Amino acid sequence: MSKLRMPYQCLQRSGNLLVAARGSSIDSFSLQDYSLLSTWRFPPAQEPSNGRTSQEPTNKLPAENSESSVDIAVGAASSPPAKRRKLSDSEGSQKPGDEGKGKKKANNRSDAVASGLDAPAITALAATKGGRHVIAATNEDKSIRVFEHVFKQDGTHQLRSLSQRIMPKRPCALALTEDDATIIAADKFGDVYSLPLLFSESENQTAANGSSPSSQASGTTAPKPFVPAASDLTVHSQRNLKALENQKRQTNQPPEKSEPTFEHKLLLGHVSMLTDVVRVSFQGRSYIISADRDEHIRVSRGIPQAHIIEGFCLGHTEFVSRLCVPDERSNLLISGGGDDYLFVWNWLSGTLVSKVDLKAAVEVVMRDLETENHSSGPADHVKVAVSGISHVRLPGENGVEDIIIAISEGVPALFVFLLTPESHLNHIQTIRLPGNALAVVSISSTSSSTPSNDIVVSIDSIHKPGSTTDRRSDTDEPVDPLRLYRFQGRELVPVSTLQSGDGDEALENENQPGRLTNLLYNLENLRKRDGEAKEVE
Amino acid sequence: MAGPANKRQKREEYKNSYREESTVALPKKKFYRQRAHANPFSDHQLTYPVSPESMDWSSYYPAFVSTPPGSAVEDSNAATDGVRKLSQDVEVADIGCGFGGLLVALAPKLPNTLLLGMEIRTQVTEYVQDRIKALRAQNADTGLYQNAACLRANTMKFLPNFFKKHQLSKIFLCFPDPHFKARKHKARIVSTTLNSEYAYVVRPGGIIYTITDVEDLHNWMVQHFDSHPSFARVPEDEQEADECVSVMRTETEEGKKVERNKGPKFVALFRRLEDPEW
Ligand SMILES: C[S@@+](CC[C@H](N)C(=O)[O-])C[C@H]1O[C@@H](n2cnc3c(N)ncnc32)[C@H](O)[C@@H]1O
Repeated sequence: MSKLRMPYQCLQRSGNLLVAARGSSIDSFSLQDYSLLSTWRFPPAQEPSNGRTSQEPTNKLPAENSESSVDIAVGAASSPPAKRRKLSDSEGSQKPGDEGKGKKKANNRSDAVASGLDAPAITALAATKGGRHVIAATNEDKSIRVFEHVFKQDGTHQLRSLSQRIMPKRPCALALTEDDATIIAADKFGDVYSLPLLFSESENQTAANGSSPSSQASGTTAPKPFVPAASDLTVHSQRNLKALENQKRQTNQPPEKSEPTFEHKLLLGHVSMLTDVVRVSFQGRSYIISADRDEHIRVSRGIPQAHIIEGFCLGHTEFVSRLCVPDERSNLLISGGGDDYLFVWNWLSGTLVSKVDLKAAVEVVMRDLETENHSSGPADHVKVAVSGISHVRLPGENGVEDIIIAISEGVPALFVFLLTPESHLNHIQTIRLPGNALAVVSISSTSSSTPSNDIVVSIDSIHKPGSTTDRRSDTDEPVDPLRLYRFQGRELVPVSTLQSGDGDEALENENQPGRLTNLLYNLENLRKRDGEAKEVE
Repeated sequence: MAGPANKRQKREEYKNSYREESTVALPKKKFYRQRAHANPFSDHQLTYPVSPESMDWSSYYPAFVSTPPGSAVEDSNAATDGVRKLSQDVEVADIGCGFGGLLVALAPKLPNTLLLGMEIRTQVTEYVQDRIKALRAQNADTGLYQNAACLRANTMKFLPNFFKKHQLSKIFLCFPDPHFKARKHKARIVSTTLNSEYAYVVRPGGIIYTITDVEDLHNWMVQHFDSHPSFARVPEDEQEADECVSVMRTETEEGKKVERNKGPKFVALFRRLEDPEW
């Protein structure tokens, strides 16, 4: 049997190409014929071509006490250097400060980060409208990488790496400004930064932190001689007294970690883990919409007024994980997460327009699976965790029709909805897939003589459909990880699979069997559990 | 935790009998003590409304409910199912109110304004609630303290769940936990990004009041509000003319402690500016 290959966790259209991340590599496909053009692989020895060259410390210092739970709560770029840093592997997949309250849980969460790959895994992709640049967020090295499509004389394609910038915290969602010149990056710590798409090393030295009004706090301050912040007079509790004593013992140690030296600005922040960010142009103005684990969707103004919050879309009762603003109906926002429903918002006013039951549709799929496998159980406790929402505009009988496609973690199906003129979502089709849907992208082409509306979906070729943990057996038919569907009228029909490259081997690590699962399925972990982090008195 | 179990039992017994017997006597603080810090990043099993519209304030300010219970008049916009509306909105928030000294000192001075104390520690919140209940009973004839209430909340995460845009005219941040260590600064209640949330819930012209005995924290708060384009520092003469400032200095529990230790008190007020055109 052939080796199991990594499935694709992110898909992104990039001009006339489709870029698809599998593990730590990126495949580029032509949209003409969906042929594979090239594969970018992580350089074996990590050599950041730009940005900070020093490697992250990899030794984990012993935690001093349970209070170290707040270690990771150091404000991203706004804080003086952290005294201690955690092993990058254990940081960030959890919401700040989660651990320490329940060590076991925290450890589960930290495993969620480790992907079992040799190189850092790609967690988000973005592409400029112009189609020339691709941006990738990588997990373990907390980096943002910018690539450029290069077509050589002989017609071959290459995705060339232009830069790597190591962010204060793990970036997890990406967007771009209207003019394609600035990256907007949300991190797991709750902060959203802007950084120029392109930067060169020479600028790098001088153009350190910008200091626009909204980002003063992100400015790097020269290390000050150590002065305890508390005086004996200020102390009025035992704990503060202890803190002061500890503080006095501290010396002027040189900072272990320095701030990023490239230009970056803190735009906004939630005290929660961010899950998605989109930038929208609406009525000539720009806005940033950010979603978090604590059920919030926040609407802020765009740069340079990103410090002004316009409003919130409140109604989710579980984590929010995906946001989708349909291009041609940009007054609307479709959001999904751990709730049973997809929500449709008028995001600028913060009003909920409609909701549609996604769980009911998911349950049908899971029941069918049970029947097919003569198993029982999973369908009884189906949980929705929306991992992708995509919009397609179709030519319809009377004008146009807007279609929304949603996928949910661990569910082998595409759920197709009609977004009505009244902004309701009507479930019109469920497409069963031979593997769990991991990512979905819509590709409309108007260029060719016959306009087509395609959907490419990535499926989990390793785990059994409906399961996020059970691997397929050797006797199962191997499945191709990328599938192409096309709209015929309103109906989505299968066309073919994409001929994908070799990809990294999906290693089975005996010691950490859950690692791959945690790379592909990290949303359900965001759900708050009853009894989690019970307050200790 | 063998000792604490016993203590907790005593404490529960006290609170139960206290609540049954008297509504007039002030609660005893020692039965409501709790360790000094709660982690603002963890989940805490908090309860909070999904949105300000779904918040039912009627049990917090019963004297201000516009449709009395049993009244046939039902709100026509039944979108906010079963929520009984108040005749006015909460306008003043004391964030991290502790044992409620500021709240109960301010309530009689602003009798027509609804004041809310927000506190993350359960025991401390309960104390303030019991304290307000007793004060309301003691002042049943004048109706004082009906305008003050306290609830448990992690304001660093859930402020927009309680208040709609520009709802508040004043926010008090009195003697916030200093979080001395640099790596805990994200736990501070004032930061560039949190200030955007304060700007969201406070109306233009509204005031943020800060006081601390930790000079470094004072400088931190000043730096972060000064650098935020939505705020401007209130000049000292105006600050000193504001009656809330003296209340803040003398009536908060922390303010009293600092007084006893003859410690310094640093005050800074910030005005919420109009948003520029967008
Ligand atoms: C030092 S006390 C000051 C109490 C009171 N303001 C006074 O001046 O006497 C700080 C209070 O803030 C509360 N607190 C800290 N973080 C909080 C948060 N995120 N949400 C609500 N309260 C918080 C603490 O529990 C504590 O009671």
